Order: sequence, then C-alpha cells, then structure tokens
Amino acid sequence: MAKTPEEIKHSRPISPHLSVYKFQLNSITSMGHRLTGIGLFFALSVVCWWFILWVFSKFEPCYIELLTQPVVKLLLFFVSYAFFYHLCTGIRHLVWDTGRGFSICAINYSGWVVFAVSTLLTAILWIFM
Amino acid sequence: MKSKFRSGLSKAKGLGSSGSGAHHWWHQRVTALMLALMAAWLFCFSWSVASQELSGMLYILQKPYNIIMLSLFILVSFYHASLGMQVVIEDYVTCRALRLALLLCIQLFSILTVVSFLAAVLHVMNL
Repeated sequence: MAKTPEEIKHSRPISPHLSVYKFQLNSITSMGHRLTGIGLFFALSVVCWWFILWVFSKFEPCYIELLTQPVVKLLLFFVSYAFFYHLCTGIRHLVWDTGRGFSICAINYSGWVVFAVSTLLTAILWIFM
Repeated sequence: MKSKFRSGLSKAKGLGSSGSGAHHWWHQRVTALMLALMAAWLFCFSWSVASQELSGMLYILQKPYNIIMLSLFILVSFYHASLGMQVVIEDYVTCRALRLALLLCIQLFSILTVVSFLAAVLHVMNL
C-alpha cells in the first residue's frame, strides 16, 4: 500500500542523524552540548524557583538546609560540571562562527581542551569552595 | 527578490524560509557571549555566597553590582535557554500541534519564571 504524503514526511530521518554516524569525540562533544543545554534549562528553572520560594517564605531555614543534603550536593556538582562544559563548548562554537578551527586536527584538539578545562573549573569550584 | 522565484501555491502554503532565522541565530550568539563574560562574575558570586550565614548572604546579594548582574544573568540566560530549547524542539518534534504546544510552554514558563524572579529580587532589595 502506498504511503500518504503525511506518512512519508513522518518516516523521514530527523535533522541531526544521530544513528548514522560512528561514535567519536566530535559527536560526543556535540551531543553533550545539546544535552547539557537541555539539562541546564531545567536546572536554571529549579534554582530560580528555589530562590523565589526562599525569598517569599521569609527566608525559611529549610531552603538552606536542603542545600546541605548529599543528594542535592551531588546534583549541584553535576549541574556545575554541565555549566562549565556548556560554557567551554559554547566558546568553541563562537570560535567556529568566526570561521576558525575547522581542521580535523584543531577540532580533535579543542574537543580534548573542552573536557580538560571543564573538569579543571569544576574541580577548582568544589575543592576550594 | 525572495518572492520572485516562488510559485503562488508555495506562497499560499507558507513554505520556504520563515524569514526570521538570522535574527534567532544572532540573538543566540549575542546572549551566549554575554553569558560567557558574566560566567566569571557568577563563579566569584557563588563562591562568596556559599560560605555565608543568612545575614551575610543578604548583605552580598543587596550590593547593587551583584543584584544587577544576577537579574541580568537570569534574564539573559532564560532568553538564551528558550532559544536553545526552540532549536531542540524544532529538530526532534515533528508533530506540529505538539511542537507548537511545547514551544508555547517553554516560552510562557520562561516569562513567568523571570518575572517572579525579578519580583523576588525587588523583595530582597526592600528588606
């Protein structure tokens, strides 16, 4: 049976073709940028609503106590890593927008730099804070 | 120029470029640059606030420099985030009704959160 135009449209592969490429550093950094971006949107929302509720509850101490919970600390650790990672890959994207750094060698190099710098920044924040 | 090469039917169906992609792209980059620069402030701010008692936190928060940067950071990051979420939704959600619903949810939720956040900031300033 022939497919309707609507069915053909929906069976087409969707824009970033995740399943057709070999898994490599470049695809991981790219997917990571998107995933951390989505994660940071939700994290930002939670942090904002935490602040709003904290302020309008007349600074209820339980909001601060919540931050000392191990689970919350672990989540904050991942959020901070996601933030630094997204920051580093974001700067990398801005450099690419100027037309620089597109050779295979430069892209692999900047990919490793992203992981190194975001790990370093997260470590500085959590070890010394 | 654009309309010269398009048939009457394609124009009526609204196919082709939306005419607003460059604007979206440019705003994404400008907000990205602003946030990257403000990240240094955010790093120092979270560092200084983390070790404080409530009175110390409020003292740091009430400094004009910090409260302006915080409000600006939240405003710009929500704009940047909703632009980014729009790209992700448009890439992966093919159902038009669901796509529109999700985009509206993200944008309305962002506006609500930013306005509430600024109201909370005003409240802190009036203490």
